[in-house]
Amino acid sequence: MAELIAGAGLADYYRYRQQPGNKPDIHASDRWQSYAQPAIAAAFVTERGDENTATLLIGGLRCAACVWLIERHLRELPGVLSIHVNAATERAQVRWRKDALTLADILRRIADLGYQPQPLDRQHASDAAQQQTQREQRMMLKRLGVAALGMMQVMMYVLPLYVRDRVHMGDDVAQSLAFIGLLITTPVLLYSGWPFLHSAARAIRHRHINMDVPVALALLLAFVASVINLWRHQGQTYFDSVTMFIFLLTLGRYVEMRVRHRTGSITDALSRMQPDIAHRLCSVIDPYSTDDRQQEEWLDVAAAQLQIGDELLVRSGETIPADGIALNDHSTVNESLLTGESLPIAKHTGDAVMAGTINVSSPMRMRVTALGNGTLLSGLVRMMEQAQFDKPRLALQADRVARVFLHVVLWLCVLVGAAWYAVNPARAFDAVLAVLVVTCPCALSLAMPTVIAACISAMGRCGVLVTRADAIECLAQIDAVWFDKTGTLTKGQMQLKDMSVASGMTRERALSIAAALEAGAQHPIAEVLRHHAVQYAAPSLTATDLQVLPGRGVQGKIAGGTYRLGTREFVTGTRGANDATSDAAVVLGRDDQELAAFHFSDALRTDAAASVNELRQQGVQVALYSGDAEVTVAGIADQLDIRDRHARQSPADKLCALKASAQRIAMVGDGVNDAPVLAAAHVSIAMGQGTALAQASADMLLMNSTLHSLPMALRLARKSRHIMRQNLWWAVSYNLVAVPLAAVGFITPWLAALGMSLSSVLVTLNAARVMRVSAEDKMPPVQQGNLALKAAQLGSLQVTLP
Amino acid sequence: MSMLLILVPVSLALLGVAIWGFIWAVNTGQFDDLETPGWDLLTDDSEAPRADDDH
Repeated sequence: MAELIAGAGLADYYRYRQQPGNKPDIHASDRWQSYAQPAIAAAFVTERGDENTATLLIGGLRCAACVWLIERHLRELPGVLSIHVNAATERAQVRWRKDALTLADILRRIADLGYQPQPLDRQHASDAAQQQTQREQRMMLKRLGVAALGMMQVMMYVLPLYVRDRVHMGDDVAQSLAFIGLLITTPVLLYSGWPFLHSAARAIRHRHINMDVPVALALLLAFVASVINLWRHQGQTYFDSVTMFIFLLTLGRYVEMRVRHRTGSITDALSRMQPDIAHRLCSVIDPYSTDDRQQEEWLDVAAAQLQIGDELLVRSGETIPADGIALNDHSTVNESLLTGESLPIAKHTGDAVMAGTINVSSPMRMRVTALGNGTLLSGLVRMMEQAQFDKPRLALQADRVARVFLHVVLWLCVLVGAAWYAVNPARAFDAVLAVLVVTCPCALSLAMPTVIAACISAMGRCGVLVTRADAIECLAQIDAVWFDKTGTLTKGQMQLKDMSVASGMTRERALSIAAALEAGAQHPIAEVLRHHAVQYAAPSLTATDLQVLPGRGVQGKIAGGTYRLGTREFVTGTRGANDATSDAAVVLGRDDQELAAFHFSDALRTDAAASVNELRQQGVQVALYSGDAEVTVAGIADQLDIRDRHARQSPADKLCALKASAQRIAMVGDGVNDAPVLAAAHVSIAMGQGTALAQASADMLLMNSTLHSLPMALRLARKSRHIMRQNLWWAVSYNLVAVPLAAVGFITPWLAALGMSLSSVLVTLNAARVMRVSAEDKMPPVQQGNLALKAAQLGSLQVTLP
Repeated sequence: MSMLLILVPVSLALLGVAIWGFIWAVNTGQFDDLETPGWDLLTDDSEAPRADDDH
């Protein structure tokens, strides 16, 4: 296994080594150079003496061997004192000698390996939310450890007492052993048992009952009873039951908590989308010029230091650092991250541009109108966080059963106590204790967490990562699944679907001309055209006098003729009949004559059709909600036979539709534009290769973007819910039988404790049934490693049970 | 039986040490990142360990 990973890692390494040659490098090295400026570097670097430290986010950590690669190559840089990459949080901490290196050198080195480093500014690096999570986890782990150690010791000491009559144990020995049990149990109860006691006390103070009340009651009663029995030299002591009970419950809670926690990945994901550095306009008066005209100079500043009203230059290929207004006419912007629109949009003077989007074709000047928390992007994130907070929690089945159950139990205890007191006071206490212990909040408390843990493990092995434990029960109850289109049902990449050429023109020549006209452009269509030109072995041509007219096309001279490539209207001056609503036909022409037409589409995922059909067979309705145009949406929907389809949906539209619907809905998406909707749906599922923000806000992740995991996950969720119900039924019926017996006095507390343990074991074993996954659903072992990495990155616990 | 008078306190003391050790480990972050150290095994043998690494 290790060889497999190392092999994969090294293979990746060599692949990355071959890549940098393709990109225009001048721009790349400029990018890191800005970080060398002290004013900018100061925001990210902490100085201590002659040592500098910085925390970086590293993007692209996908293979398990990436950590090894980065650490090794960075250590080779002279001047680096230490580097530690934490694969779980995707952060790296680097320490280096101030005089030997700059932050820029380090970033450049990491980028050369093929990863995307991004320095975190100093406040962000020590994230409050992440520290809080860490504190909680550590606290619970400590409690768990103490409970475990205590439990084992107490059991050892108290074990002889079970057979004290058989071996005719002397009273003093028995007393001593029981006393040691007391010594160990007391701190365990007070330290590890504290959360239960505290929670129960708070619930009672507020006059309602939660799951912790009977737990606390049973613990205290058993403990106090044991102490009293110890003191009066007769009767049974239950120190071992108390500690074991505490341990099992804390274990269940710990697993639940780990699944619940996400380690600050939302803020990190947001950082990744916004650039650190902007180019600001500075007017400089040239002292040597003859007139007083001011010269323009572009200064690199840290994005954090921008102000509203600043004029910025955004080069082609760069991400826009703030919301603003475009000041020139010729650029196009890729807004797919925010709106899902797959083609870049032309921006004219006065048009609004958004932070986080990418400037595609030519340098753009803009004036800043909103920064940081005021940008649309951070507004989206806030909307998403708010939606998560407001998320209607389906009243979980177990909670409802538990609540009724608990009330009954407590009243029963009171009744039993009173009845016995009237009849035979001596046995009253034992009877009440037996009743309380036998009602076994243990099985009830364990019924859910064990099944959830088992389900998470099973889903993990089939390629679905669960980050919110409640999501499993929610998934089992959904009525409909709403899909996003681009990147979810489709691969998210433009492909050349069809090409038609006029008579007298060959495909190869058309591709050569088109590729020549699009040389150097970063438009996704341009890349596809160039790629196909290479594939068809079309001879390469050079175009001169290139003119780009955003939103319309490009024009250039090749071998004497002037060619145009773009919309039909631009090329031929006329509008075609069926092109009116389609936005993906690109025409090549000369002198108003059409020579060739290229049709692009976003290819459907290979397993999309099968998955949609299977979902329908499972009784779930399927709908398609997309931000793209009618025609493209209709095309995909027809292929998948989805009747319920909606196009041109903005995130707000989708959110409205979601809230208006009475069904329980699972949303599947991948982009930032989906993030608020993902947060508001009953269950949200993100594609494993989608944006980091969508992943952070989703309840489940489909690793490797395999859609066929979805119907399988649904099957598992339903099975889990079924088994959870079985467990609950077991807990209830066991009680229905045992409680009357205990109340009447037929069950000694000893028998009750035994019943409690056996119940717990049975519930756990039943939960394990969830994990029996059929062979065809399982993922191959190498991908398991990546799943674990992804799980760690998202802070969920992958319980790897066999 | 008088051995018990010695053995029992000793074992209780050992328990105390074990608990202290566990709590120390949690507090110094030994259990925080259970994934990455597993991959450190992939380090090449030829690479000399540097003294100032704090894994």
